[in-house]
Amino acid sequence: MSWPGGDPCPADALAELALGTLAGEERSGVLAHVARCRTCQAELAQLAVVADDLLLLAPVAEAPLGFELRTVERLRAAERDGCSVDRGPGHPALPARRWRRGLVSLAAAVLLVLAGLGIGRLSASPGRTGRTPERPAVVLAPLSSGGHEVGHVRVVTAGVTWLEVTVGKGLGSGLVSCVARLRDGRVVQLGWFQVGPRGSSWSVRLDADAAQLASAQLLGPAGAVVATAQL
Amino acid sequence: MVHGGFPPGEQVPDEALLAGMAVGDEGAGIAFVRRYQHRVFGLALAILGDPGLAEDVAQETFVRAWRHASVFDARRGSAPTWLLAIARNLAIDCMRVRRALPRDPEDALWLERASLDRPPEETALGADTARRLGRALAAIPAEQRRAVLLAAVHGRSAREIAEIESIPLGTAKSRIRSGLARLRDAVSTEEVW
Repeated sequence: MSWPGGDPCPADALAELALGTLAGEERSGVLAHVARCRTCQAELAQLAVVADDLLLLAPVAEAPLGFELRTVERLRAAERDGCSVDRGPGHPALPARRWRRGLVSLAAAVLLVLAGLGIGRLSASPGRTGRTPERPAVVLAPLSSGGHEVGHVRVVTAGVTWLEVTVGKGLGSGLVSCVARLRDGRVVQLGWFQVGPRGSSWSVRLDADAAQLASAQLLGPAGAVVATAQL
Repeated sequence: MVHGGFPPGEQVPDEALLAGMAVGDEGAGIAFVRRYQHRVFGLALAILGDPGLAEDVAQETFVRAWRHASVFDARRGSAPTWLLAIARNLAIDCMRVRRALPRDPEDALWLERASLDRPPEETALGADTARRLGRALAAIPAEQRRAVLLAAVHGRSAREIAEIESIPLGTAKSRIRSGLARLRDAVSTEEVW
């Protein structure tokens, strides 16, 4: 195959270019050809889509326990250390941003649109029409047992509050009860669930406000504390 | 403790999360990490074979995504392919710095097994594309499949594939081209239906 009046189309190299494995002079030569050849431009675009989509077939592996926390800490560290932030072509790199606790205008606008479409669950209740929807809040804390992290507890407030417990493999298996200790000293029984040998995830809706929670604990059948998350 | 974020289960579009990340919203960052941590870690682990290195690469992937969220362009590809491409490139860089030996080409076959065996919910993100491509991948000759996967996932050049497979360079190039073209044709044909 060749383009009218030019050098032959580099079929082999085009695939390698799409896969990102072509280098050096060969890459330069192919790019120069593609810049002039509409047929190869179209072919390259199609092959590149397939090459990228192949990554979707990669296996899903459970990230190590605490990965999420460590990653978020790393993002925060990057912010503190003053990493540059790419704001797109034509914009100079900005100094580090500060993590923002409130929804900034753009994200808020997007979410408001979603809520209006019924996609999200962030819109105000009927009696609160006209109020700005509150941002859902999440508190994520490691769940520890004997000084080791065995999972995490997440408390989510978005109109209602619910608590989610995720236990990894390190806790062992068996029936546990989950209790919440409130800041005023009260202890609230939240429910029971079975921890399997490969871990478990369990959630419950809370009547208490998230701000009242001091900790969540998992108790064994005899009532002994087997794991605690400080909230 | 990590504060902020979107409720679990909310299907906030990737583009909305990336828009939030672009303007520094922590909650969007947390939700994005939560949504893709297992995919990113899985890819890094498949390439590197070392859980410690894979975690480091996966974390750096999210740092890069955070920094460059504002230049993500949905017209040029989906968020997961964009993110996984970052992870792949970082993993390949890491592998080359450590002068790691090429993996056994048979290792690349995890891709087809993963794509065909995994439960539907695990492929919810890009599910249709992954399923179609998985079927097409299983249908092409094994030698072409190995060549394409070694290039696409492990970043191996045609010359490296020729050495790994003990075949002439021309044959390696031909396998890459034929394999990728057949995948493209198969996916295009399915899209008609």
